[in-house]
Amino acid sequence: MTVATRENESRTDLLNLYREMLLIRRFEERCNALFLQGKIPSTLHLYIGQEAVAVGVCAALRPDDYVLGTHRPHGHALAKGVTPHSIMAELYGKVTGCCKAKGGSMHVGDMSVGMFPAIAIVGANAPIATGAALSAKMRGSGQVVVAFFGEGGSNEGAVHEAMNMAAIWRLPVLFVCENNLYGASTPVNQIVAVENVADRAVAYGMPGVIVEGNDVVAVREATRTAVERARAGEGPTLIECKTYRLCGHSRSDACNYRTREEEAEWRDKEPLTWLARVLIEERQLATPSDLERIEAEVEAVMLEAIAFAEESPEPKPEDALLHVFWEDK
Amino acid sequence: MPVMTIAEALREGIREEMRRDPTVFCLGEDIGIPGGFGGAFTVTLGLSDEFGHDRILDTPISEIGIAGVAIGAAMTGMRPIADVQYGDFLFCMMDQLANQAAKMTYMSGGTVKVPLVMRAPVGSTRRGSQHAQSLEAFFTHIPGLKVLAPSTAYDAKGLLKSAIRDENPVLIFEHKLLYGSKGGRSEKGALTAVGEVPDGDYVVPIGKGIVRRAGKDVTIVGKLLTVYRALGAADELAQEGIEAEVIDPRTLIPLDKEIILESVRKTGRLVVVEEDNITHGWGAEIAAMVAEEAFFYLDAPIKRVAAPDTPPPFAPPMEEFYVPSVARVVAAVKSLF
Amino acid sequence: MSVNVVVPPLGTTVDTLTLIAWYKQEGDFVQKDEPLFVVETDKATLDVESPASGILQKVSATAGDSVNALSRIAVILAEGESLTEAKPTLLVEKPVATPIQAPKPAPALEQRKLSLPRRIFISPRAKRLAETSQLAWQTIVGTGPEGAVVERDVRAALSKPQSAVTPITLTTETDATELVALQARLRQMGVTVSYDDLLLLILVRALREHPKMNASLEGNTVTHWEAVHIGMTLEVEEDLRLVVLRDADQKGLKALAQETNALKRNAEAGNISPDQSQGATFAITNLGTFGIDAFTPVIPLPACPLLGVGRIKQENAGDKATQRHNMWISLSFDPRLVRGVLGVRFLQCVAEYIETPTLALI
Repeated sequence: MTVATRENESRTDLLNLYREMLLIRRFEERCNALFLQGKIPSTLHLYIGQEAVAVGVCAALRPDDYVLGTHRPHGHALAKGVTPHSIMAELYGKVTGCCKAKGGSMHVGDMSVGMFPAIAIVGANAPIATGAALSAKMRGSGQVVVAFFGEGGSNEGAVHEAMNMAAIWRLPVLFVCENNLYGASTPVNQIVAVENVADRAVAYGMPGVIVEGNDVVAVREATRTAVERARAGEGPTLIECKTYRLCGHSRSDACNYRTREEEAEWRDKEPLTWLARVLIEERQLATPSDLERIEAEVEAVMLEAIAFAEESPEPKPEDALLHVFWEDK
Repeated sequence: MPVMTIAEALREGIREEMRRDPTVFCLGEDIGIPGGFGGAFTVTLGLSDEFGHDRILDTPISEIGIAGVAIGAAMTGMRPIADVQYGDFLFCMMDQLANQAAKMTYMSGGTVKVPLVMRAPVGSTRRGSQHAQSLEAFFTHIPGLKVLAPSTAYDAKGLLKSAIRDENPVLIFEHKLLYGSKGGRSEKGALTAVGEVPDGDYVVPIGKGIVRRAGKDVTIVGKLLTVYRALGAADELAQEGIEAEVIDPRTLIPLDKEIILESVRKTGRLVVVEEDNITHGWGAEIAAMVAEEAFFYLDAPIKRVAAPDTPPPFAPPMEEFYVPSVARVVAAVKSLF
Repeated sequence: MSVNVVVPPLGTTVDTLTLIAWYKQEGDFVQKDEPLFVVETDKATLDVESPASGILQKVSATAGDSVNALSRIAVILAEGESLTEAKPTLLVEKPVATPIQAPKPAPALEQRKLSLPRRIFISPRAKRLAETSQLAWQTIVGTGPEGAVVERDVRAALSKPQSAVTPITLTTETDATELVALQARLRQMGVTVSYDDLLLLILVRALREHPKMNASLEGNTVTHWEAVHIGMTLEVEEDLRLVVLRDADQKGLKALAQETNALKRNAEAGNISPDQSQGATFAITNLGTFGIDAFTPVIPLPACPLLGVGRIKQENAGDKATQRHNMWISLSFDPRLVRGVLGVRFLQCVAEYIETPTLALI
């Protein structure tokens, strides 16, 4: 387990990380409420509780690096720099959405900021990430690619093929496993025989790193190390982030497969609480009013994003015929 | 003009495109290993000598990986040509093709392109059930993929070049009995599909079919090997006074409907010949399209000549029974008069 | 009002058909235009729709019977109407065909198996060609797959000229007041003639002025005749039969009347010679006696022009000063036989004689 060296982080740096995580948290909470109001037609897989992974990883990346998300992609997309406006509009099914209303929640992305359209087939993004890394290497661009997947996705054949190919060709790709303990309802100890998903890295000939996934600084540190290695041409890294999904798997999930006690335990160390404790109590770099100010800023952004989505036009029904092929403009 | 086999024509097409465009590269199993095969049917033989092993990239036996890597590379500025040893292995990578490559442009709202080429051999050639299937119909049913089926050396090179320059995922199905592969990779029962291929750059446009033989009495549509079965049938029918028009669509998606419709409007009769098994097949689609768009020109029922609904069998007598023969095409045509 | 169920004249060469099956039984309710029975001609098997809605009664033919074209084989009664009060009326909405040929011995029928009606198949291509060529394809014998009519069959049929051409029909309403008055005056003078006799005379006079109308078409051959043989339809035992009055132009009104009566008697007695049933150079059919106002006469084969005559209708019956009698007449002819403009002039000529019939007596 890597241990973050917190002493070096500045107040501004940590408050920025806090702001980014809070944006994801408030975005997801708003989505949930808007879904219940019938404003969002899309199904939703919320990222609440895992914000430190996306924010920590993306904080270690260059703008032109690539991220490949999963069926739970809002956090990845926001952390990589896709605007909350365009994601919200996408969830509303509006033409101003980041995928012009063709994608919905599970496919948000924006290649102009390095976010692939999210891939909602579990594990299927890993070989595509390997391909993007091969491309980066062939083009000599120095770009690094990140594939996120869960501990459930780690069992997909596609992930194994992708990790093996990335390792044999020493490609600049990070396989980031967000181990949130449950694949939908199935607990990790029923589907993985090794203690840690990261233990499998040795089988592919790449480093396997385990990190406290709710500690954004720790995640960033682990990612930085892997990114440096990747840019230096030394190949891929498997990073396992231990985290917890505070909400249900999807909107319809009552979480009857886990205990309220376990949830309370993880709630106590969820990413925002964790970082607030560091900022205010451990290092005394901020006061509660600093965090309240950030809260207000994020609230303003959210209201803007929702207004943008509300006011944007619906697609024409026959727009369904567009974009099957690249030339169908 | 040089005379080439389809395998040679494909190789020349790849060579010219790789020289022209540094983003073009090949990946696949056994395609560039020194002393190896140059792919299962020699198409890439010798190319690693010129382009090196970074651009003629040998992969592990990982079909999902091959497809996914090609997609990821294509989405980020490269133009990969993925070699699939046998078309049957496409089933291993079905998610990558059907869910990822085919849908990426669509579900990104047209903001992402996937300019990849995947080449896959098909056709029943005494290898039993898992190295023999004709899979074209599966992939013509996936919106977002272009599907090509060149049956001559000229078309193989020209269509491959169009495919490489296309901005969409393109599958090229090649028939094992038409490659003309030599040496240890030659095929029993292969046809001599050699033909004149111009030196240098030319393209065959995607979406344009060709009339292989003109006739006024019946339209026979075939692809890959069955183009030659249709031509053989047309020869026999001509001796009995029936002039068959043989159409090779060359591109299955997007389909040159008009060349088929125009022919049927003239002849009033249609026979579709395919090596795929019959039910819910490609022939059914052609038949339905003609029934919808040229019904009032039909003078007889539409007939399909196809493989039966079985996996491809192994033993030669059964295989010959399975693959549509010239005699079956002739009989189908005659039943329409 | 009850409506007769009549065997339609479907065949081009025979007027005897075989009743294959009834779709309904006596006492069943039938809808207008619903298939009622199926008949077989020498070339095809065809469904025949019910001419009216009502109860099927008085079924006089059973499956397997040979039936004559235009013969009545049942009656449709309106709901609530009883058989005794029913007064059968020939309902004519669509063209009523005149009989085609004089009766001749029914072709030796093979032992026919009763079977379900067979559909006639025609390829879409052939049907399209037939329809654009206005060819009735139902009687073509198919040579394609499963006996379907295919393009080559239609082309073969089209190369037979008579089947390829649609007859022209011209219709006009005439003032028959003078005709009615003339007939009454003649009767007062002790000369009993029917309207048919007067119309025959008028027809002969009009043909004298327009000799090119006295013609027939057989195969590709148009023949203009010197002799005038008038075909007439007569009602015989509820059937319509064609009889031929030969050399009509050589006969005066009285002779015409006598000969017509003789033909009627012979026809009723089943005693018609071939001379009296063939060789018409012009034909007339009067459905006015059946209460029909107007109709499209169907040309008999071999084709000659045909005049159809409707009912004489009285207008303003109560007022002597203004009362009129009107009558519709129609002329049908094959355009290859008679040019359209000639047909128009001829019909005008007939109309003028009807309106001033004394001219025909001169």
